[in-house]
Amino acid sequence: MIETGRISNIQAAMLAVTSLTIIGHLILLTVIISESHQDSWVAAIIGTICGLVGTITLVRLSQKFPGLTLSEILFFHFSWVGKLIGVLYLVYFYVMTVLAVRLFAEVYKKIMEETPMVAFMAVILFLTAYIVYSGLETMSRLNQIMLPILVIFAISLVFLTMGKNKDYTNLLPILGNGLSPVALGSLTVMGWFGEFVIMGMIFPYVERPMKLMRISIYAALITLVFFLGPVTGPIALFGPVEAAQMEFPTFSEVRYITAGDVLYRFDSIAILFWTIGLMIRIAIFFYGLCLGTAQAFKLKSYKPIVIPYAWLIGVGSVLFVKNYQELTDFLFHTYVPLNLIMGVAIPLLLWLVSPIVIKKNQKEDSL
Amino acid sequence: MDFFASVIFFLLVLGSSGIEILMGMKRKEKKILCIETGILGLVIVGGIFSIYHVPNPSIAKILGAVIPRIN
Repeated sequence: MIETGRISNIQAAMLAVTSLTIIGHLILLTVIISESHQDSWVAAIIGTICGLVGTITLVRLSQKFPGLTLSEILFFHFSWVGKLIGVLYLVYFYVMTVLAVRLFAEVYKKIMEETPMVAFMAVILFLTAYIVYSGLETMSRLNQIMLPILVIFAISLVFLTMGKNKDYTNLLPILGNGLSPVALGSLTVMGWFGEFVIMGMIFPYVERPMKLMRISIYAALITLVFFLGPVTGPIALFGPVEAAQMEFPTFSEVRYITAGDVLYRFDSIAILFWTIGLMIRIAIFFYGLCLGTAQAFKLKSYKPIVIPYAWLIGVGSVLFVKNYQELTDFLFHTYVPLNLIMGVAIPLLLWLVSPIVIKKNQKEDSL
Repeated sequence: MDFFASVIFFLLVLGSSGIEILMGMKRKEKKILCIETGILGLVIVGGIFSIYHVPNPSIAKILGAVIPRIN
């Protein structure tokens, strides 16, 4: 076995929550607000419920092949079709890592305009390569320490933004634009939950795999709770039209916070939140990519390919998009269908086909 | 300037991954060596593409063309 570390179920859930929440706050917020306007929170709730399809399917699939990661299941149990899908998943993990690295650089570029983007990419890649090299246990423990701190900060920010500037009547009328904007927003949230598929690379290393279902559903619900505040806050503060035009609505919201006449500029906390969140997210997908490749080629360890992959991710993030406009276009039009295919459709298909594959494999073994 | 940047890039890639490649060679682990060389080959090609600003479609555009779009 390449990965010898073991993590608790709660640590696995925490990894999923951090990874999903950060991308939700950073990019999904703009997409969902521009699609569903004041009904974004309704879309978030419906989308989460629909997104559970992918989550539950992945857990069920993982439980059907105990002790095997998604790439092991695909490469060694699903003949040549599985191998092809396995390669697609490796490409998907690569794209998700590259996207997160590019986002990290884009966010920092907004604050430090003079610094070249490559510098930010190099910093985050150094950090994440070290985390991946250290293994799953280290990554989970780091996240276990950082997530509660971030949550405390986030809750304190929520209380500080509950000022008189917010007008929650901006969230009305509910379903005022009809059902289709909500349906589109729900689809986006569902696609977002498709990213949960990365947990297929981590589930075999949890201590109690039989209790994965409950913990995964809890993780999805906690992610929804963490998402409802940021999705309603900018709409209440700026209105649905203006919030939809913002690149980073939560960042703009946090900039409005003042505590008395002394404390202001709380945007540094938002930056801290995004930095740590993206670091964990990049590390998870980077880990999935390295582990998946090593398992596909039956290597003894994934560690020798961490540095080459770090370089490939770095080069990929430079070549990923030419400008921010192209990145926005990708997030609005390609990101959701990509996640729906990789995170919901394919796992569902694999789960449906798995009884036949298991039976076939058992027959071949008995011969 | 671009040539100088490419040389530095090449040296950095080799410098950081060289130890792993040497270890692979010493242990005669051909599989790891092949994978590492393959990935580093892609890195160098991609690096030269970005340093010389070769007019190529971005990864996002390629994905956008392959995957059915929403809206």
